Order: sequence, then C-alpha cells, then structure tokens
Amino acid sequence: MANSKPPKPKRKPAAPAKPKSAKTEAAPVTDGIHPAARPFLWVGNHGVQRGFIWLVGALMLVFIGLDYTFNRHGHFSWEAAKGFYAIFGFLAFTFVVLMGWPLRKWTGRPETYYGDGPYDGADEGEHDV
Amino acid sequence: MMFNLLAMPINPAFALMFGGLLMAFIPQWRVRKFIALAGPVLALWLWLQVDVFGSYGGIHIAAIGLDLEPFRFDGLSRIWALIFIIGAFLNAIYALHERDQVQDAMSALYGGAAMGAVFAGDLLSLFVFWEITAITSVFLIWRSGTEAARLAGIRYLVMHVGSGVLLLAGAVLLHGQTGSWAFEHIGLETGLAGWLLLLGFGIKAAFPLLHTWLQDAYPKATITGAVVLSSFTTKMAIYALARGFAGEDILIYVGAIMTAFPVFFAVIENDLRRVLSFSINNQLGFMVVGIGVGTALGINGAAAHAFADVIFKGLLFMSMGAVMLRTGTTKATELGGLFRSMPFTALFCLIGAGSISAFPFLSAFVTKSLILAAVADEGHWFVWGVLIFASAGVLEHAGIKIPYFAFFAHDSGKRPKEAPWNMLLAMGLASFLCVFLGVNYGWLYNLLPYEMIYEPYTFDHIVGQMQLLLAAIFAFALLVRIGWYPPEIRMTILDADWLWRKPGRSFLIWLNAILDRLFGLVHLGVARRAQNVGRVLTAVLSPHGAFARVVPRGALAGWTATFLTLALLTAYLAH
Repeated sequence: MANSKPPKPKRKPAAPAKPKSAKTEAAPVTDGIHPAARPFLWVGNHGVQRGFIWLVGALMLVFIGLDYTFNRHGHFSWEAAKGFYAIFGFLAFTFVVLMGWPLRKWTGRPETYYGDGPYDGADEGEHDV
Repeated sequence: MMFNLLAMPINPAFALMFGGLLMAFIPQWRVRKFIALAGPVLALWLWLQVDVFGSYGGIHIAAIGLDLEPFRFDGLSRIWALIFIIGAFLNAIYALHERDQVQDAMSALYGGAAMGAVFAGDLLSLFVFWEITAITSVFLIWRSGTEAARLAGIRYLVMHVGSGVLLLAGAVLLHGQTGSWAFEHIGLETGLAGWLLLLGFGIKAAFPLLHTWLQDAYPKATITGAVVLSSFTTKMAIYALARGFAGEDILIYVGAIMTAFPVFFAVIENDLRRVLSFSINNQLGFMVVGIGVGTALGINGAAAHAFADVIFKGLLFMSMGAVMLRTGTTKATELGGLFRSMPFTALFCLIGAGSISAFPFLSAFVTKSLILAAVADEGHWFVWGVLIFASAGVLEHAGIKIPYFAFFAHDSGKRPKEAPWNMLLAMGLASFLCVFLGVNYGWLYNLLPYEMIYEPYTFDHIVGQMQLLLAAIFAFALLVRIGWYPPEIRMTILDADWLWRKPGRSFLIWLNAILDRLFGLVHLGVARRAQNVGRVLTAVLSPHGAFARVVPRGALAGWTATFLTLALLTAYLAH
C-alpha cells in the first residue's frame, strides 16, 4: 500500500530572497487624495482660481443686465435703480474687507496676549496629517 | 388616574432631559448613544401627539398662590421646540464617534432644558430651565481640557448665571406689579422689571457688549460641544425676546448693530470657529430686528430664521469640527486645500455657506427675506440698508472665508482623512434640510406662529439677491487678486471683553492689594490695642500682678468671697 502512494511532488526550491531595500519596506506611498475629489482637482489649479474672477464678473453682468428687462417694485425708490444691489454689494463688501487693515492694527495682539495658553485641539482628534 | 395622566400631552423636553439623566449613570457608550438618538425621536413623537394649543400639566400651589405652567404649547413654542428636537438629533449623530459620558449626558440635558424654557408658561419655570442650560452647557467647554477652556468656561458661567439672576429679579419685580408669574408679553412699559428681564435675555442673545462670552467660549469648546452650543442657548434667548418684547423699537436698533459689527471682526479673525461665533452674533441680529419690528411678518421672520440658523450654523460648525478632528486646528493660517482629501466635508460646508449667505433655493433665502420685508414694510430705510450691508458681510465671513480658507485657497499640503461616517451623515442630513427648506418653504411657513402671505421666489428678489451676492464675490476675487485682502495672521483680536480681562483685572488686583494693606493696618492697630489691654490686665490681675502684690492675699480672698455672696444674694432675691 505504501508503494501505491503517489510520489510527493518535489518542492520547488525556494526562490532566493530578494534583498530588502528601503523602498520595499516602506508603506505604499499614496498622495492622500480622496477618490471622490480626483475629478475636481482642477479646482485647486492656480490658473483656475485666478480665472474665477472672470466667471463671477460675467455672471454679475448678466444679472445686472436682467435689471433692464423689468421694472423693480421695491419698497424704496433707490431699489429701482439699475444694478442697485450689485453696486451696494460690491461697495459694502469692499468696505468691510478694507476696514480689516486698520481694525487689525488697532485690535490685533499676539496670540499669547491673555496668557490663557493654546486651546485649539489640544486633546481631541486624530491629527493624522 | 394613570389613564388620564397618559392621555394628557407630555412635555417633549422631558424625553431629552430624562435621557440625559440616564446617560449620566450609564458607562456603556453604546447604550448612551442609543439613548442620545432615542431621546429626540421620542420628543418628536410627543411633539406630534399635541393636537390642540394650550397649557398642559399646570401646577397650582394654593398656599402661596403659585401657578406654574411647565408646558405651554402654542404657535411660538411649537416651532422652536421642533428645531431643538431636530438639532438634538443631528448633534447626537454627529457625536456618535465620541466616548465622553459627561458630554453625552450634558448635551441631552442642555437641549432638554432649552426646550423646557421654550415651553415654560411662567417666569419661574423659565428661570429654572434657563439656569439649567447655563450649568449643563459649560461642561461642553470645560471638557476640552485646556486651561484656556477652563477660564473661558468660568467667564461663560458668570455671564450666564448672572443672566438668570437678572431674569429672576425682573420676574419678582414684575410679580410685585401684576401679581402674576405668567410669561406673556412684558414690554419696557413695566419699568425696571422689564429692563432687568430684557438685560437677562440680552446676555444670552449676545447683545452688543454683552456678546463676548460667545466669541470667547464657543471656539474653546470641544468639537461636538461647539456644535451643540450653537444650537440652543442663543436661539432660546431669541424665543424669550419674541415672547416678551415683540414690537419694542429699541430691539430694531440693537439688532441692526448686532448684524453689522461682527462682520468687521470676522474678516481679520484667524480662528474659523471664532469666525463662526461672530457669524452667530450677526445672524441673531437679523432675528432681533424682526422681533423689534414686531409685526406678524417680523416675528415669523425671526422664528423662521432661527429655525434655519440652527441647521446651517450647526452644519458650518460641524464641518469645522470635522476639520479640527482631522487636523487638530481651525486656524486659517494652518489650513487650505483640504477639499483634496475631505471632499464631502468641503461640499457640505459649501452648502452651509450658501445657505447662510441666502443663495436662492437654500434656506436663508426664504427666511431672511421675511425679516427684510418686515423692516421695509414699516419704512425703516436705514435699518434696511444696514441689513443689506450685513448680508454682504455674511457672505464675506461665512459664505466665502470659511470654505475658502479651509478647503481651497493655497494648498497647505495637509492630506487628512475624510471625516468619520457619523459626522458625514449628520452633515449630509443638515445639508439636505438646508436645500429642503429653501425649496419647500411652504412646509416651514405653515409652522410659523402667525398666518401670512409671502412669496420669496419673485423675479425681483432672485435677481436682486444674485446681484448682491455675485458682486460681493467679485469684490472678494478682485481684492485677493490685487493683494488688498488682509492675509490671515495668527493673533488675538481684542473684543469688548478686553475691558474686564485687562484693565478690569488690573483694577481688581490693585484694589485687592489696597484693601489688603488697609485691612492689614486696621488689623495691626486692633492687635496692638488688644495687646496693650492684655498687658495691662496681666500686669494687674496675674498672680504676679500689681493686685496680687499690693493687696494681701488673705484680704483678696475675703473680698472675693464677699462679692460672690452679694452676687448670689442678688440673684436669689431677683428670682
């Protein structure tokens, strides 16, 4: 019976171990980009960000142009002026932002001014970046 | 009796508060999370059970003539309670990853107390719930564990407990005038009582100069704590103002200031959670103006905007919380380009930003316009202009700054993981609600306290709003491009609390030192005198004193016996 046993297949000699290199030991390198974000990476492109102003400017002009297609029935007379909201929005926004310069000079102090110590995320989160 | 008890509507606030109490004693986090989710669901079920407006479960204590109304369900309390239920549910989902027993319990108790305050039909019940919100919410700040959070929590507690004390003082004075504890329209014609109550409400509503606790404490709260805090306290105060001070002209101007001043500070603030705290202040301003106008449209506008605000402001805090969880900071200087690795959080943040900026088909478009229409209807052209100005400001700090500096702008090189699934789910639901309310505004309008006819989607309104928003975005792009936009810098921006944190503190230290010296001198003087008296007595009466030396000891004993006998005789005769 023992002779009827099929001969054991000879084991292939083990392949010589590849020399370990720093490259193979390291974890697989990923760029950390989320798969869902890949189709939108162009948003971060510097040229696209710089060109954004033209898109917004064009849309703004379209909506100002729409003002000429009807007569606005506002509560106040100045609302009826063509492009009133665009002009108001632009001036208000610019004023708020530009006031930031003197306001920072006046109210800005070093982060440790009150001496309470840091507070952001001291004990929380994974901070795995 | 039991049947009748069950047949009577039950206050939904108790579902949250009972859940909070239970969680305080349950160490198993899975059970706690189940209760945290079940509480708001049960509260919603109880809310749906009430068919008729009225006051339920009133307590009458005849001996002291006290009538308590812990559960008043009417048009005003109904909508506020619903948004607190929704807020509590979203917050519970957002906090599912957290294992903090204290925060779990306090969040539910805090939300329940805020809802209890909204349902309170008398000022004493309001006071009790008012103070519970203060005491429970401070733990959401302290649990950050930092020294800065501990100190901010103490300042927060002082302001909020003080607010409750003012409320109680006003309530007692009002009771003295009217003989009633009922929480109805109060008005300033009630004199000191009215002013004390307004001040008490105003602290929690973050009136100008009383607002600093908000920007001080919220950015120092825990990640989930800041989200929970943004939902309840301030909106509860807005409810109290709507109930007690609707139509008070002063609120129109107070509210207008509240909308305008935070936008300047938010531009230069580096901490994005603090920017959102300024944004809370700004949005509360719109609500306060609506209450000040006091017409049906104004009150409806305040209620609707509070409803929308709990969702979109919560959503923005959630997105910043996710950023903080993954990167450890919300400082704009440390962030940028995160959309590459956190695309869903970025998307939800953009929806929140669009909502608060009042883009068409998002929630604030259909709520803020009610307030603007109410102001314009009453002819307040200047205040209306301030609100339009503040709308451009909102876009600057909440609409652009938050998403831009966190997720876009320059690439910080950080590639954190996307937020945990529970955070994404909470943000996703909140985003859905922002769109839902913006599109199905009729659903929200039907819940408002007063009937009204208002159509937000007119051609005028859409074109005007889009002009405002696009021109403001254009201004942003232009200012960034030409380098006029103030760059983000790590620094502390001073606020009104500087007055008591620096010169106020120095004054107290000086006063303490002066009083110490004064008392020291007085103490020294008294001690010296006492020492002199003691020295004299010792010199006269001690065994070696003058008395002992001058008078013979036997004679002294005789005199003592004589005096004692006389004293005893006198006492006996007198008896």
